[in-house]
Amino acid sequence: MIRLKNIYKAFGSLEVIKDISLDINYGDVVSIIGPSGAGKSTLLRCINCLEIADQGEMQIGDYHININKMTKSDIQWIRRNTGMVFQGFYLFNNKTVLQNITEGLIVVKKVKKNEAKKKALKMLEQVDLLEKKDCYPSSLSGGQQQRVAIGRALILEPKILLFDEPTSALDPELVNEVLVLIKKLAGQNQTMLIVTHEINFAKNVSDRVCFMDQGTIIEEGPAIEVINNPKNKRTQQFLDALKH
Amino acid sequence: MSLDFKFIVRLIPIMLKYSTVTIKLSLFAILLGFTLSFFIAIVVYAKVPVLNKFFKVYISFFRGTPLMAQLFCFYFGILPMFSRLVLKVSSFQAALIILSLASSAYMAESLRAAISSIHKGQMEAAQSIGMTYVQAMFRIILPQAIKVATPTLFSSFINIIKDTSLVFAIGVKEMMATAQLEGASGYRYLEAYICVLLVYWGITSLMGFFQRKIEIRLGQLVGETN
Ligand SMILES: Nc1ncnc2c1ncn2[C@@H]1O[C@H](COP(=O)(O)OP(=O)(O)O)[C@@H](O)[C@H]1O
Ligand SMILES: [Mg+2]
Repeated sequence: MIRLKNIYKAFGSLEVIKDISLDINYGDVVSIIGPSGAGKSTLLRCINCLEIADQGEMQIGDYHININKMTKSDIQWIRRNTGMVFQGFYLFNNKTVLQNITEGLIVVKKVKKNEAKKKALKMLEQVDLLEKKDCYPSSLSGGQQQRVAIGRALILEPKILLFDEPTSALDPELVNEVLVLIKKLAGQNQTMLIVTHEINFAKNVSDRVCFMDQGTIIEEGPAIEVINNPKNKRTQQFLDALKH
Repeated sequence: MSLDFKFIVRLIPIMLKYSTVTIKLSLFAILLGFTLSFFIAIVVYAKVPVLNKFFKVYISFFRGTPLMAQLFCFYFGILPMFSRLVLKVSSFQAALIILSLASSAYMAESLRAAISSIHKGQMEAAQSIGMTYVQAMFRIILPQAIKVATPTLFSSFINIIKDTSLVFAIGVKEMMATAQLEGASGYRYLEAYICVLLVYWGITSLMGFFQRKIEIRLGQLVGETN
């Protein structure tokens, strides 16, 4: 399982993550909801080591890390075993769709080129973009780009896949294709941590939902409970505001 | 006094012969300067301690002082101090050194700006799948940056070619030196310098031709971005 314990992160004097602990079992889908500026992105970035937290412990499977004693090779290990899907997709603009997917296999996992290509083609089938394999990202729609980005992360078989508002940058009519794909992954028992504003989606797809505000997880529980009957007042206010 | 075309026609082959010096000097300076600028741009962009500060001063100095003064200072000022050493530096070599250093400052600046123009998400995405900083730089960032920088890099290349016309001042026997000599022989300065201009124009036009070829090739290789 994946375990975060007492994570802290500040930017200068701004405390963005204040003592967050979270356990995620393999195969679970956990969603994080909460207002803008709550620290949701920062939390995901700390898990993926794009930001280095100031304090705390992380455990991914059998791998324990004390963040204060984290070495370069720890960081590399964590990045190789956690996948990130960004709000802005960030496909490699100088690579084709196929190359975007094989890049990690070839460069990071040292898989042979033709083997990487075989795997990547299968992955493209799974994200339903096989016919776009030789296109460059700039010629794809946002939804297609995001599905390639999911494939790029997924092919490295991450122990956890992190999503940072994967549909927030998409035109409304393109949101669904991405949500459908994420749902499909949930059905395949892919462990996922998803930051999203799609409340209904979070309710449908997640095992658990966390409400985060001002750097802390204020409420956490089974998805339907947290979203239908929030106990905390701030969670209620946040969910009410979304309805109107 | 009319233009003596016969004189021009007679002079062109002589100029072409000396243009090999210009071309050799330009090519070597472009090669050395570009390689060096690559290194400098990455050091400055990655904020490598100490070296970063050093190269900022370096860039400011070489971009902020006249090439002619740099050449004179190096060849007539600095080199003689080391004349006791076995190391003997010809005027051609001195010109090559200064041209490479000076142009590397300009090119490093355009490369650095091009690298900065690449969205930081590209580096983050590369790192998120486990690439090291260096892998991400060489496989993802630089290929995109080079494409952005191509037009300004080529104006630097063209500037290097044109700047070689200054090196006769430290005694390199090239086209300008020849033009002065030949021009003086029959008071045909106009014709002599027209020859020089024509040959330079030819060389830089060729460079422009290569630029278009490379831009098309990079467009295919890097993918047209909108
Ligand atoms: N690199 C950074 N430097 C300084 N402040 C940052 C940085 N990243 C995020 N912040 C600040 O941290 C707070 C939380 O940001 P973020 O994690 O992006 O929130 P969320 O994703 O929940 O909207 C915000 O106030 C934001 O301005
Ligand atoms: Mg965010």
